[in-house]
Amino acid sequence: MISRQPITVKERIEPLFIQDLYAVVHYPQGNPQPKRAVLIAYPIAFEYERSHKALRQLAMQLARRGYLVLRIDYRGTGDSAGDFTNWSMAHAEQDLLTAYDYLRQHHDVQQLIVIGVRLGANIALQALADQPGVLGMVLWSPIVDGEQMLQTWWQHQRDFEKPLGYVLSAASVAALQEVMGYELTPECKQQLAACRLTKLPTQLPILGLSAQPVALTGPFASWQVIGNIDIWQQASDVAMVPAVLINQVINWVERL
Amino acid sequence: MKEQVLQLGQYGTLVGVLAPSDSKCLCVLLLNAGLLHHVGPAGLYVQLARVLQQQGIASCRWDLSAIGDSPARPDHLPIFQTIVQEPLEVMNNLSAKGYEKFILLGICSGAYSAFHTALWDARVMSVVMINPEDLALGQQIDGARGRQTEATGASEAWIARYKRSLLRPQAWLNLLTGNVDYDLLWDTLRWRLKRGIKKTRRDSSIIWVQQRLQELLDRQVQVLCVTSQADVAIYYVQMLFAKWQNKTDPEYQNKPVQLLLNNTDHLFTYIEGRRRLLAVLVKWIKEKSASMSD
Repeated sequence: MISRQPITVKERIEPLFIQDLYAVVHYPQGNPQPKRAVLIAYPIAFEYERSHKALRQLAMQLARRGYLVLRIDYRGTGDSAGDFTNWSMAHAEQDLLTAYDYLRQHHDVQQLIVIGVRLGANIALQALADQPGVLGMVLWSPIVDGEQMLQTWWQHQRDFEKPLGYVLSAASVAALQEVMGYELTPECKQQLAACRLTKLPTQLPILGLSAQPVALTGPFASWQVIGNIDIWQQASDVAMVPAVLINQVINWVERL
Repeated sequence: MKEQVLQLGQYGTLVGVLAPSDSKCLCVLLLNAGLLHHVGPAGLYVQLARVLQQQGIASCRWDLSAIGDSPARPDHLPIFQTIVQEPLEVMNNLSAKGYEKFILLGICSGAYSAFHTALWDARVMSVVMINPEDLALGQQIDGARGRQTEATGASEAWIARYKRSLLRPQAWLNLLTGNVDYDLLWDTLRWRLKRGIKKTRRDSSIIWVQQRLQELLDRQVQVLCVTSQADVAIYYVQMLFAKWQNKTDPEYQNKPVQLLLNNTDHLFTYIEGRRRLLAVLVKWIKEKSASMSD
């Protein structure tokens, strides 16, 4: 006779405010001395909301493999202080540096891997690529062309408004003032439009993941084109966690 | 006063953020809107918490087990129990911090959670339900449970909505251009055909919810329902609240209130609509808070 016991996986997490930034630390399971740490850099606006579940799952899986993981909300997003109308790339870069410093000072982290999703990938590259101890980066659908991203956002907003029978609030990207509930100030839009990914760091191992081929290479960079990657395309209540993709990311992190 | 991160619940696994206030009388509990994490749709709960804190009213936004930042519950309690059990546990935690009374507020499934939790706890002084869909879901009614009751209250509401859509050219355009949830439409029509074209009896699930609502009202719990113009909840709440319409007897003094917000969708995606919702919620909560101190 087979006796079945419910399996309880004990996750040890610590939500906290680092200065005014809301963050969650996932402690490595069954290993008081973490192998390495992983910092997850979120996307922004509705993409943040829609990828939250998948990125939490990614953090949990990494913690099970013995990594210390940190997720942090940029100021003006999530639970962090401030308002999204004041969001800026410069602040977001500073926030990732704050997270980096926290990991080094409070958890004695010497080796860090950064996983950046969408704009989070661009911010992470800008802020952390040259920092000591950063072993590699995963760029999950980074923004290659900011104007194209805004065009996609505008399309999202149109698709949302159409079945409601509302008059379209924005006839063009230039007139777009909000996207899926998030206000886009002219300053924010300007920064997003200017966002470009033209080259990769030469010294850092990079795993790039995208739905479309990206013509970017580097001595230590590999680029993979995969499906079901754009998890922010679906509303949060129906969005699936991309298990295969998450495993792919973890396998790459493990090989570093 | 700054916000505080808390780990709540029986096992200390529920992740929440408390926006405290000096006055410990009242705390507003913000309940997950479906699978969205505790910041709420487009950060609505964060905005609400900060406005309330400026007004001297505390609130706590937090995640149910296995949603948002909270890990799965170790005892694997079924979902229909979890969404009542965990708000009760969180209220216990907050009571230990000195909060005496609570307003439960939730969107969609959060409204369900607010309603059912209030039935169990006398510390709840007000329930704010935003776009509730089927408050009888998963409940034991006439010996039927779960799926059988699911296709009642909500389906009635969808039928009412589809009837009105028959006269809207945009609705027909949506139908022809694929901007319609065909599965839902098919399920609703199938349910209606199965039940018969002519309505023969009042929906038992509606009556069941009305009875439970009356229990809350008898306890002097103040009930507010906010519905969006583009949401099926309008019809559902109208059906539920019909019982109290035009009642002027003293025994019906405490009536549930329905507010309709034009140009809004299920999750109040438009910023302007969300601003109006925030204004309505803050006004209601301030009134309840003031009535407590009287």
